[in-house]
Amino acid sequence: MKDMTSQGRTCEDFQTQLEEYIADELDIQTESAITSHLTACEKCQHELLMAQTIGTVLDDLPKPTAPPEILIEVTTYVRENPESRGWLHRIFQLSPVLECLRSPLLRVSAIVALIGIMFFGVHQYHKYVEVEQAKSDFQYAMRKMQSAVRKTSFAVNDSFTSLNVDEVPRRALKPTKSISPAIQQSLGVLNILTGSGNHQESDTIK
Amino acid sequence: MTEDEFLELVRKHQDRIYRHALYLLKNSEDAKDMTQETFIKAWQHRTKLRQKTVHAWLLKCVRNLCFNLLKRRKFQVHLSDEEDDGDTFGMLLKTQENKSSPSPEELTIKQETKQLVHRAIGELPASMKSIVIMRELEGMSYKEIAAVVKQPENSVKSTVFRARKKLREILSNIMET
Repeated sequence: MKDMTSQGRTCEDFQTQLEEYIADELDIQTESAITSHLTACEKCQHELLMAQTIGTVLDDLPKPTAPPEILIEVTTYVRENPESRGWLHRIFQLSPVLECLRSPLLRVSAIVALIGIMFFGVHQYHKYVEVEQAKSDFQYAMRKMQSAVRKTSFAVNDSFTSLNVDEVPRRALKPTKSISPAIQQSLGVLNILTGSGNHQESDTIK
Repeated sequence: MTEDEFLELVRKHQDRIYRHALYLLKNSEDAKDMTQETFIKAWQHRTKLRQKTVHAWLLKCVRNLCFNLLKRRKFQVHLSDEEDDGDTFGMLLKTQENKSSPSPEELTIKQETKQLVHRAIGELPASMKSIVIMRELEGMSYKEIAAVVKQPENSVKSTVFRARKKLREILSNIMET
């Protein structure tokens, strides 16, 4: 059965606050309420005595200090593991010049400059790739053209091997069934260049 | 935080952290290891440390490390001299007692009382013991303890009250006899 006191508080309620009462951590109102209760309650006086004794005993408990090895070990670890710092700091530790960039503004500027250089490099690389591609396409087209010219010359040679040199212009003026349209076109051009277009109708070769 | 600043922080807090670990683990080697580990973790997380809360952070860290060690080893902390391995509070107490020069009877009673209080503290569950250490030995406020253990202030008060009640019972028995 709980011992009831004034203001509806039990002895246990007061006893829970005895430690703070001893340590002088309570507000004035609560403190005075406990003081007045203690003057009238022998049981709580006994508890207060116990609490004070416990406090004294606990105060007397040994308070060992840390052995020096702890500081030595931690110091060694800290000196050996500076890289356990942040990634940004690690970047700035790469060279003594970067280490000089201690100001945050300088660091930000350096990073922005680095990013700018990086983007410029990427842009230049893309340009280089485009130029190389165009060069390659041009060379391919040139090879194709040379091949076409070579084929045309072979076809022309094949067509005129059986003719005399004098007859070549006249025979060339007469289209034959075996001559391809490309050769016909070439012959047309050749005809214009040699100026023998007027003899086309009269000097056909049989 | 520079290296020098960090080492200054270690110098400032190492005794209290070591003491906390020692009271929880009852073994100076383990306590030393846990203290070192705490400060190494602090170094690794130093960007998160704030001057105002660094003590609470260190205590939280050493508590967790000690609890994990206790769980791993599954050993119950006993303060009885029979179960201690020679690296105990008993020895510390004797060392302390030798410094003062009370009468032999007083010295005996005082030492017995202390040993009983130690035993009583040792019988408390680890989490409760940690709170008692912070409150009774380190003199931390309830608010500070509540921040470390992440419990409401009233809950911390209640824990301390229960622990003290237990100690009172033991002391009552001593005084009666």
